[in-house]
Formats: sequence, structure tokens, C-alpha cells
Amino acid sequence: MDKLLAATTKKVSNHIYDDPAFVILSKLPLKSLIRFRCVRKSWSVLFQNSYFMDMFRRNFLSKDHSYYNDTSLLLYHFAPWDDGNYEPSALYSLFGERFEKTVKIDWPNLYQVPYYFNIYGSVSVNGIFCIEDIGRVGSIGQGCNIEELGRIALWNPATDECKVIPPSPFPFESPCWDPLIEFHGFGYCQGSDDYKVIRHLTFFPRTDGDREETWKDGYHESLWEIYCLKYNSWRKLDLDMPTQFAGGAGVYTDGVCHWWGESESQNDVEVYLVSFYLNNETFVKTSIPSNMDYIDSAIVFRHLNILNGSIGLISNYAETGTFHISILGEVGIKESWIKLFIVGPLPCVEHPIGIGKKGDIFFRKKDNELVWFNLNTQKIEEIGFKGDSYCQILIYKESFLPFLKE
Amino acid sequence: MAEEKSQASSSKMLTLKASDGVLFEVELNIAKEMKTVQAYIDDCEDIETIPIPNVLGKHLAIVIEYIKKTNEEYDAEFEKQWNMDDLQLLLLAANYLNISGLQECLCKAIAKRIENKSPEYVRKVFNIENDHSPEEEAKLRKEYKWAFEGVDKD
Repeated sequence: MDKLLAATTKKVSNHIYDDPAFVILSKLPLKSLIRFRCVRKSWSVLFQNSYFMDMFRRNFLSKDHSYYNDTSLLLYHFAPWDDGNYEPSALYSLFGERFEKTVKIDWPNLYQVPYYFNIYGSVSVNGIFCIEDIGRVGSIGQGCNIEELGRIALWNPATDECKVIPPSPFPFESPCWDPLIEFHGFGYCQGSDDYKVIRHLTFFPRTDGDREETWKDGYHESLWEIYCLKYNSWRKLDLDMPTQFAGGAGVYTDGVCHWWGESESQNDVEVYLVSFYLNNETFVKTSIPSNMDYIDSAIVFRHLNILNGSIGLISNYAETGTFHISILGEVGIKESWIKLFIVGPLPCVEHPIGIGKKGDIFFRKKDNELVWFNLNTQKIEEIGFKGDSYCQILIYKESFLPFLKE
Repeated sequence: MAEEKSQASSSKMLTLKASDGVLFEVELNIAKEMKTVQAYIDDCEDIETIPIPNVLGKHLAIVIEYIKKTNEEYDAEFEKQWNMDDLQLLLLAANYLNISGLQECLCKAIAKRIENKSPEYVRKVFNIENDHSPEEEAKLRKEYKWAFEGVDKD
């Protein structure tokens, strides 16, 4: 190697901050950084080096991830039990420098009468939503026919292409049992050019029947079911997979559906990130390291999100009003969770409702005002919109491609 | 009068002298992109030839070309032409001359090239000596076995 380079590099790399090398390292993905811990001692403690971490964070946030190309932000609002302050379910597009402009997006006209819908999983996949009908306009809260449960459709708002998914035979297999249908994932499988929806069914004895009869029936196994657009049908999945933590929302990355799951084992309930691969219908569990929580907080709420293309976990330590954000370096590897940001304390903030582009985190405040917090500027601003406890921010990429094959 | 002056200064030429004596005539506005050169000019207004002692002629030529042509498309293709040694020397040049766009472009390029490589390869690239004890290194390799999967062969 050139003598000049050797001399200068040696001098430079002995410098206390390893300057030029650090700038290069701060642009590497987590897996590489962890492997390069072997290179030398100072590189094995990079994550404890605040100078390096500041650079890494800045790069992470400013990275132009292709995930966000040509995307816009949508606000989904769901408040079916509200007494008139909000529409039961509505979808808006958010624009403007400070997201101050909104345009309402109309639900599809599926049943010839106006209906309200729920967006399954708060995800859009190739510009398509999987929506669940939650009732006719005007009849919300009046209860619905059990057979209407779990009616879903695939919908592309840009083209208004819509496909009602045939009802699954499994929820209503047995007349003595009522199903609880829980959505777990919707996504696209590139290998088979197919869209799939995965749900979990739990069964409860029907109470309007002969009680003695139903209890005699014993136990009805809960099950997983999957819908494939290609075959336009549902089938059972024989998997022992942790189900989604109640009230949680999952995320979707290329061909994989992720959710925050819990499974009971011995005396404890263990939590995991469950990643379900749509192509081969298998799953991987990623637990969190025991030192993830910085305080012995009894109350921690976990929110799964996508932050700049990586799977992010927002841990809300409600007692202190702080939010810790960790990203996952590699699915399946619990040591690859890296805590990147600490937001707060923000005492007036209730919970996060979604992440936009370039480090914008949206929250709902205790007074129902929706705000956005930018990780770069550390500033928090109201968007001039109020939301009920269930509202979500979604990243949406418009697509004009038809998803139904002729 | 002011207009004439600015016209004159924008077409004013400057000479940069590389470490191996090669001379480059550049327009003032090109030279100003090198913050080190800008500082030099600020200090000595009448200077016509600026010595660049840390950069070889071949690299200074590349740097000047970069400044003239830089845009998204050019930057994307730029780094592909150079081997690792040249990239590092260009980075040293960009750091010395203080050209932030070029620094960023080169750091990204070098990062991309080492992303999937082994620690041994990286030590060679940065000319770093391993100060881990064999036991320490073995422990790290075992603990983070997953990070070594799929690594390019050296």
C-alpha cells in the first residue's frame, strides 16, 4: 500500500475517536457493525460511544429508504362507540409541511348501501388494503348478525378495484361455538404472486343454546386459517404460533407479517416478535433481551412499527412518560435489538399511533389532540386534528396495477 | 462597475499544484467548493498558485472532475470506477480539501464495499492491528455467530 496512506491511516486510526473510520462505520447496517466488533477493541464498544451513536442515529434517520419512495400518509380513524364526536370510521390523507391538510377518502361501495370499514392491520400492501366491514352506516352499535363477522375485502383506493373475500368456513363450523376472529397479517408473497390473509380463531361456547350440551362438547381447538387470493379460498394452518398481544397492531415488510405475540410457558407469559413468512408459511420468534428495559417498570406498553425501513419497537414506560425506541438488526436474533432513541418525558402524550417518514412519530395526547414528534429536531407539534383512542397513521403507496387476474 | 467585477471574478482562474508537481487550472467557483482552498484564498487574496501538498495529481484531477459534474446520477456511478486503495486516497483528499459532498459519497461507497466482508479484510483495508486477545476474539465470534453468516469470502 502507498507509504503515504499507511503513515496517515495509522496516525489517524490511532486517534482517540477513529474519526474517518467511524464516519464510514456509521453508515453500515447493524449486522456488519456487530461482526466488526472483532476488528479491534475500540470497535467492540461502538454502541457505548456517544460520538459514534450520534452519527449512527443521524445516518439512520436521514437514510433515503426506498420503502418511502412516493408514499403519502394516511390517518385512519375508528371510533364506533363514540357518541357523535367522531364518525365511526374514516380514512384521511394527510398533506402539507405540518400535515395540516386532510382529504377524506371514501370507502368502497361494496354492498350498495354505505358501510363502515376497519383496515386490517393498518397496513397497505402494494397500494391495497384488507378491509373488514364493521356495519352499515346508521346501524353501528346495534349489534350484527354473527355470520357477518369477519367479512373482509381487498381494496385499492386508487383504482377502486375491490374484491370481497368469500367467508371462511372455519369460524362457523360448529353451531355450538362462537368464534373470536383475530386478524394477524395481510401481505404479498412475491414467489407465488399471491396475496394472503392470516387469522386466528378462538372458540367460545354459544350461550343461547343448551348449556349442558355445549359444555359436554368439551373443548374446541383454536386454529389458524389462511386465505390465498390465487385460490380464492381459506385453509387451516397447522402451526403452534404465539398469537398477537391483545389490542396490538402488527407490521408488514416484504413478504413477512410481524406481530407482537405472547405465549404461555410454565409460570410466565413470554413475549416475542413473531415473524410469519408468507412464502413458506413458517414463523420465527425473536425475544427481547432481559436488559431492554432500563427501569424496573411495572407498566410497559410495546408498539411495533417500521422506522426508516427497519422493524422498530416503541416501549412506552407509562409511569415516566418516556418512550424508548429500539430497532431490530436481524429477525430471530434477540441480541440484535439496538436501543436508538429515548423520547421524553412527554407527560401529556398517551401513546404512539404510527411512524411517518424521516423520523416523524405520531402520538395521541391525553386530550385527544394528535401530534407529531420529529426525532431529528426533537420538536413536537399539533397537527390540528383530534383522534379517539383507536386511530392509526399508515404509510401508503399508490398503485394503479390491477391485483385481480382476468 | 460591480457587475463587471463579479463577471471577472467568476471567470478568474486559479492554479492548484498537486504534491507531485502537477498543475491544474480551475475556475474560482470550482476551487471554492474545496473549503480548505477557500480558506487559503480568504487569507491571501492575491494568490494565484495554491499548493496542495497532500494530494497526488491523479487524485486531484478526479476530485476536480467530481466537483464539476456532481449530481445524483453522476454520484451513483462515480465510485464504481475506483478500487479500494483509490477510494481511500480520494477520501483522504476530500477530507483534507474539505469537500463535504465528496466526503459523503466516498464514505458511503467504502461502507458499501466492506458491508459484507470479514473482519480480516476490514483490518487490511484500514491498516488496523488487532488488539483483541485470541480469547476475546473467539468469545466475540461465538457470541455473535449469526453476524458471520453469509459473509463474502476474502
